[in-house]
Parts: sequence; C-alpha cells; structure tokens
Amino acid sequence: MNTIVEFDRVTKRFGDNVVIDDLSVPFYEGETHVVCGRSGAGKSTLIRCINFLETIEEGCIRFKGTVVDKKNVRSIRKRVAMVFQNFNLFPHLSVIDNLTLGPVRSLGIPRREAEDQAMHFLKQVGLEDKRQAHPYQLSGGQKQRVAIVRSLAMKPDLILFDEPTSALDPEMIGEVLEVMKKLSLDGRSMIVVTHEMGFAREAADRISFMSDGKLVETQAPKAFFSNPLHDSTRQFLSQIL
Amino acid sequence: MAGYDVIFHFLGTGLIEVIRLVPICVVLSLIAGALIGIVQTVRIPVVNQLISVYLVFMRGVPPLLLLLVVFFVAGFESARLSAVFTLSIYHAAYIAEIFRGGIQAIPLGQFEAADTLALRFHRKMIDVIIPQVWRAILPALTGQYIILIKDTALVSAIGVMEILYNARQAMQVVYKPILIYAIVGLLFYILCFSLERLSAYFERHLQTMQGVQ
Ligand SMILES: Nc1ncnc2c1ncn2[C@@H]1O[C@H](COP(=O)(O)OP(=O)(O)OP(=O)(O)O)[C@@H](O)[C@H]1O
Ligand SMILES: [Mg+2]
Repeated sequence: MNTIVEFDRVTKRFGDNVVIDDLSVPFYEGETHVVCGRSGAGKSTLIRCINFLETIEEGCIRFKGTVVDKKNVRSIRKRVAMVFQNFNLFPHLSVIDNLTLGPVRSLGIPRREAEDQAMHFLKQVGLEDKRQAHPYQLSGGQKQRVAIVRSLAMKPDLILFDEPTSALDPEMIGEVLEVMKKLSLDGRSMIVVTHEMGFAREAADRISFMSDGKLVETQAPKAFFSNPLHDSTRQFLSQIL
Repeated sequence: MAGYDVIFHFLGTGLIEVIRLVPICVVLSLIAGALIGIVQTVRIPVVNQLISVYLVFMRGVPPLLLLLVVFFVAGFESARLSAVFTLSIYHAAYIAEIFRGGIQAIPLGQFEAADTLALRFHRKMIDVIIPQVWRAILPALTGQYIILIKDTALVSAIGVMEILYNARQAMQVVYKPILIYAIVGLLFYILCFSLERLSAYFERHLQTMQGVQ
C-alpha cells in the first residue's frame, strides 16, 4: 500500500498548548481513514496541517513524498481538497461558479471544460438543477453536497473532511453521508474527521482515535468497535454508541 | 432681470468644475484606499507601519491645511491637479479604513476555502473577498464620498474655481448673498442626494445579484 500522507514526528502547539505531540503516522492511498476523538483533541488541527492551513513547530509532513511547507503550499493545495463543517461556499457566487472557480483560476482549466466537469459531478449528487442557484437558496445538506462537489472538481488526490455533517439538521445528515460512502467505494483517498460511527463502521478502511495529541489507536472498523485496545477508546465508544 | 443670468452663469461654471473634480477623486481614492486597506490586512511589518503613519497623519490634519501645504510645497502644474491629488490621498485614508474593516468582517472560513482551492492571493481577493466586501461597505463609502463632495468647497482656497469661488465672483456683480448662498446650498444638496440615490441603486443591484445571505 502506498503512503499518501506521512506524519514524521510532528509537533504542533498553540502557545503552550501542545495539540499534536510528536506524532508519526502514515495515511494510505485509496483508503478512507476516519479520525475520531473528543472535542478539543486536535482532530481539526491534524488535518488542517496537511494542507498548510496550520503550520507545525517540529517534525515533517509529507504528501506523496513532497514536504508540506510554505514553498510547496500551492502545489499541495491543488492536489488536496477540503470539506468544512460550515461548508464555506462563496455566497456571492452561483453554484456553478463556486464549482469552477478553483479549476479555472488555480488549475488553469478552460471555463467550458470546468463547467462540463462540474455538471458531471453535480449530477452524481443529484443537484444538477441547482447550477444557477446561490448558496442561500440551498438547504444545509444541499450546501454540503455542493461543497463536496467543489472539492471533487479540483480532481484531488486526497480529500480532507472536517466534521462534514456536524452543522446539519439530523434529517440531512444521511444524504451527505451517502455521497461520502460512494466516494469511499470509488476508492478515493479520504481522511474524515467525524462523530458518525455508523459511517465509520460501514465506509472506513481504518479508524483512529485521537487523544492527548496522538492517534492512540488505529484499527480496521471491526476490531476498532469490537475490541478496542486502549482504555480511552473504550470509554469514548461506550459514551458515543 | 439681468442679475439672474449672471448668477446662473457663475454657479453653473462652478458646478461643472465640481462635477469634473469629484469622479476623478472618487476613482483615485477608491483605488488607493482599496489597495492600502488590503495591504493592511496582510500585515507586512515595515509597510504596515508606514501606512499607520499615513493614516494617523491624514486623520489628524484639517483638509484645508493639507490643500494649502500640498499646493505650496508639491509644485503641481495646476491648482486643479493639486486639488485632485490632495482630496484623493486625504479621502483614501478613510476609505482604506473602511476596506480594512470590511475585509476583516468576512468570516475566516471564506479565506480558508479560497486558500484550500489553491487560489493565489490576488485571485482570492478579487474573486472571493472583495465582491463580498462591497455590499457591507457601500453605505460607509457613500458617506465618505458625500464628505468628499462637500470638501470640494475648500479647493477655492488654492484658486480652483468651484462653486463657492464662483459664488463670490457672482456677488461682485450682483450683490444678493442670501439668494446666492441658498442656491449654492441647493446645488450641494442635489449633488449629495444624487450620490445617495446612486448608492441605493447599487445596493439593490448587488442584493439581487448576490441574494440575501
Ligand atoms: N487558532 C487557534 N489558536 C489557539 N488555539 C487553538 C486554535 N485552534 C485550535 N486551538 C486549540 O487546539 C486544541 C485542538 O483544537 P481542534 O480544533 O483541533 O480540536 P478538535 O478535535 O477538532 O475539536 P472539535 O471536535 O471540537 O472540533 C484545542 O484545545 C483548541 O482550543
Ligand atoms: Mg474540529
């Protein structure tokens, strides 16, 4: 299995607060890797370091062998997409313009081609009739599906998800998870921070539990749920399930 | 009544001068103010300190004094050029602050989403941030430009023949100060009112374009 992202003795602090503590871990190509853990454990920080939204103090992160640093930041961001908890769609742009902005402006793809491409993905999530809508005209679930399509439109090698369903009303969580499951089945490389253990059980190749700045436990779903090795994982699971 | 055509002739000339001055100052101060406001949000050490000095200076000096100093020190070819330059850099300081505030009010997530799409800084600003800033700052911008219109009354101090200068000229021929100043006031009112209508139009236009958020 090829490594897509490698953390090599990474430490990240906010002031005195050590959020990632001397962490070394590989993430593999083609896998859906779910990261869970308590609020404040550093899950968001962990994935935000991969596309340089956060900078690390010590160690090294490599994306497909390229060191994640200031010099390589654009070339890495062209290949690593991110889906946010709060969607972060551009409110002044129509859906189609949201989707083509990155491909046209960053990747230099001709607009027509980018639009065709975007429509292709938009159809896959069942929102082709919303191409001219503005974000405020969409439901939360629709917004997040558009945001996922926005990330797909960049043709990324890796997609990072930061609690993509946490801001959604319960009845809309399913439609977003469905889309993510499809992506997972397609064999995309995904790192997903989520509390949706149902999704983790069905779609994840591996699940990590994050605590005290470390991934204290990483297992395949079956073992993770039935036989967690670590006490803190067991405690967490008993509370959340 | 021979007096009235003299009055209208002079005040009309002055009005035309103002109408020539204001749009240039609006454009120049908008460009300068937007650039300065944007640069301020990036926090470049020395540059930012220079900008702070400029802002503090502009906001601490009466515009009339600035007009006089620039006119006598800078040596522009014409008084009009000097006036355009002074009013533009003076108001650019305020507009820079309006832009800075507008940019800083945009949610961090918008910057991060743009960064995540690998947009370069200028594309992030042009395509994502500034279009969202417009609507929020339009009322403040309009207020600033109304002050600019009124500030044009000062440029007669360096010999630019705007409305007030012409009013005094007219009075040398027809001594009707109250009438003349009343018309001057009306002209300024019409100018400012038109600007407000224009701004309200833009605001509606931006709203239909961008929808409610
Ligand atoms: N920009 C920041 N400045 C200072 N401290 C921060 C910043 N961002 C996060 N932190 C701190 O880092 C720690 C980890 O935060 P992080 O957001 O990564 O946790 P999380 O696991 O994603 O939590 P949640 O489940 O609530 O999203 C927290 O203690 C938080 O207070
Ligand atoms: Mg988080």
